[in-house]
Amino acid sequence: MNELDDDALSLDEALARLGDPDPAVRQLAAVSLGELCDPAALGPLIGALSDADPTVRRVAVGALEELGDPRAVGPLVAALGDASPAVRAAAKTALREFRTPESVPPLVAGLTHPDPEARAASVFALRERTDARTIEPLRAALGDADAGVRREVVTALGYLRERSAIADLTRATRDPDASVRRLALGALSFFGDAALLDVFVSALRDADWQVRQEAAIVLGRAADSAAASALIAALDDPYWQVVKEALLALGKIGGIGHAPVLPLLTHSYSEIRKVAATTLGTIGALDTVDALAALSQDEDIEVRKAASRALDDIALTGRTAR
Amino acid sequence: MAQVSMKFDVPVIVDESKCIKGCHLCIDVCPLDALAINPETGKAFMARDECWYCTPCEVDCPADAVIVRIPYLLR
Repeated sequence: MNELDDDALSLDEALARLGDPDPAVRQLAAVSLGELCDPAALGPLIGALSDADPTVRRVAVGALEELGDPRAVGPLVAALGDASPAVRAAAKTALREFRTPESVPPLVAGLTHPDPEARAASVFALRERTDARTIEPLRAALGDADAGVRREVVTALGYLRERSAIADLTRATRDPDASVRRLALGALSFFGDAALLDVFVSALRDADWQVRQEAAIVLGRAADSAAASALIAALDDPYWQVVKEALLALGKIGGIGHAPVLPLLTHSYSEIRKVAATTLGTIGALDTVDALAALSQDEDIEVRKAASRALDDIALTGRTAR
Repeated sequence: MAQVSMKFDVPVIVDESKCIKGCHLCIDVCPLDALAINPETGKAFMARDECWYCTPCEVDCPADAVIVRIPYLLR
């Protein structure tokens, strides 16, 4: 027991002070109601979400989160559009804690909130709910006018591994917003569906380099030899980040021969030389031993280390083959 | 425990403009009793320079007034 608990408010005192004209008194009353965690405070705390003082509203959000009554979800969704950023942030965090089935309908209703930030926060809160009622509204929200909302929806559908949304996510790989396209590729990769390979290969030709980079990453995850020629073509990408991921993906696929990778051992970027060496080691390219040995004079120690490890890998592969 | 002589250079920073006068949640949750109420202002402050960087004071603060500055090597 803390000596400060002597001045703790009773439920009745706290409820009475919640209507005090002094905001400092109302703030402390809201704190006390959060500590008391009494279901009788639900209504007054919901009412405090409309208080003129932003701190009272912020504290009320936290107190409602502590109470955990699903009847607070609707008002908390409304608080996602609060004028105070602190209240909005607290409401977004609080809504994730309501995991009962009763919390789903008000969160789904939040998908049509006029404020795009609130719609995105509703999607964020729905992400961890494997409830069939969330899928159709989430799929519909992929048509939201705001890219931030669509980003959250794509992430949620991938997180939920919702196979019925594969066609929607495939459409999202052609979204006008590059970050939505990139996230859609990542979400689709978790389904492990070989039929999506063409979607990933097409994305290697996207106008945005980060989308192309993600495409190379997911193709590496798929490790399907049917994508090898597209990944080899991506080694000519003007962005080294794409080239790097394409190299790593080719290493995972294997069996491609060393010809497309060998020229990259002399790339002007040391990161590419390093990854090219690693890839040659992974695919066990015996014919590249001399070129890898030459990297022992590279100016970058990481390249020298990668070349040394690649030579070890190739030697090991040779011994295994024998 | 060593007494803090400079309140602004301690791991736990309390924003007095946000801190709710009379609230003592951060003081209650601190396992080291490092926080206290400043009798002059009625607001919380770090009274003793001891911290486990456990962060309940920051997480539980209903007004987002507390910040725990976790040293880089502990992050």
